[in-house]
Amino acid sequence: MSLSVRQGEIVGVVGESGSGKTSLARCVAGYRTATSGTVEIDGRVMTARRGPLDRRRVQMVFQDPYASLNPRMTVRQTLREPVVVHGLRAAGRVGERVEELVDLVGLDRRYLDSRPRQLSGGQRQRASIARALALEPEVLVADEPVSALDVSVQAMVLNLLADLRDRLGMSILFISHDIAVVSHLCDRVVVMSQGRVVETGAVDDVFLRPEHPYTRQLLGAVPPHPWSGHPPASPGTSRPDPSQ
Amino acid sequence: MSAATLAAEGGSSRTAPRLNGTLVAAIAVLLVLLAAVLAGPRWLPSPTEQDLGNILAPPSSVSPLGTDQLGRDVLARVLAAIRLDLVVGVTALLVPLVTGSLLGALAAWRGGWVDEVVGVVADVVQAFPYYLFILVLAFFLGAGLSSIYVAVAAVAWVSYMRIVRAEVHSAMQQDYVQAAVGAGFSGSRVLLRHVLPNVFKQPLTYAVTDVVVVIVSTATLSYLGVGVTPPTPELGALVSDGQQFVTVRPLLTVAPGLAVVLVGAALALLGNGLSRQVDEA
Repeated sequence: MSLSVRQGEIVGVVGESGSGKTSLARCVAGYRTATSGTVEIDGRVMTARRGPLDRRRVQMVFQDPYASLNPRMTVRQTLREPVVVHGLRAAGRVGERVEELVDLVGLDRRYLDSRPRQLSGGQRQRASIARALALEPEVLVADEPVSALDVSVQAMVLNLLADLRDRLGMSILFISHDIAVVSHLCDRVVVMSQGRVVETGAVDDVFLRPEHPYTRQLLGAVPPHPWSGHPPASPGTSRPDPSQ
Repeated sequence: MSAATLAAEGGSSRTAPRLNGTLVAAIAVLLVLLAAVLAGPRWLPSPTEQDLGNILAPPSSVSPLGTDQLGRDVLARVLAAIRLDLVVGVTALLVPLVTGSLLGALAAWRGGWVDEVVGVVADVVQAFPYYLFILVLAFFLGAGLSSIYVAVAAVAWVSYMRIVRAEVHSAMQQDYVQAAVGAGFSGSRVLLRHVLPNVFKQPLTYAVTDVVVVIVSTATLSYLGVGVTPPTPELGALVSDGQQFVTVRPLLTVAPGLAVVLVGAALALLGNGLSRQVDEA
């Protein structure tokens, strides 16, 4: 299989469970080596045994925001660590960078000294995105980043990802089983089935004029989504979420 | 209990720990025991002071639990014995707690042959009957506290190794550890900052209950005559000594026996309470 992500592009990967989406994400993020084939960034081959500098270039946002943050570390500690370890800012300017990061993902600064269990799912996912951004990656791999969140919070996190791509020119590989979410967010889409890419192209082309029978089948199986095709003007129009 | 929990939840603080009932009860019993052990010597005669003119005396205002066959104050001896057993129980576990935890972390982290070797050694140690092992050791090292320390160090690490190994294994699958690996952090940083801080509670809570096991084995060994040597008061030795006079002065045996039960129950409660507290945190 082959797929490429250009700079500043959001590429969605869709397919049913077991189709190899997560394996793809883990290969790109460097958690496992592909059984065949390679992952390249700017022509440079990246295996799972990559050094710290290469690791920095690809960062991952995990599906479950309740498991992806170290429960013993405050948001501030979680964001400081990568900046300090990689020496991305002078010692005196790390605090400033941490505040910049929470501002960037729209997490209120008063949560800086909170631990994960004091945060809601949406807030945790923002913190977790901020941690990935702390390393200033070129590629962000988001493995079902909103499927564990409430619908109203999902929209906010998706808008955040789109916003980050616009502002930082980051490339995002967006793994999802949710066709509606992918058509809302992504520029291009890759349809996977049984470990293979069956169809790829611009979102509108693939979803409006699917060529492969599997894609048609997948599209036919989509249940009506609360805001399918209509990105919410404001989160207030969706179900209210007391935790936000 | 539920009223207290509700009242505590009504409070504003989210971070203040709410103690569960078991933990409170355990702490209360242990504090009373500790106070008695520390304050006792101020009012009571020395636990080793003999008064051969006043042997096997019944309880009186001077000796609340009477005296033993050498005229020594029974309450003073029981309190001194509780103190000794608690000190032995806690200090004897320090070495196996640390070595077992480190070996477990190492085995899980490195895997491969390290894991294999540690596992096989643990199996061998565990396959040996515990008391037989200690008796053989005591035979070589001679009776006394040192053989208890060595025996506990040689055997007890296995539990901590297994607990920490399993905990590290599951922690390594956690997304936050994966994220730390993905951030390009060094192996030692991932292990020390992200894995170990999230697994140390389990071996510690287990250690609290394990103190009971050490105390009971110290008492057992002394009862068998290979533990603490006379005249140092030790609970197991006191039970054994008192047996000769059980028809005349049953308190000589019953008092230290009850003390073992009380200390053991309090520590077991503490262990239960702590682990429940840890789960809720």
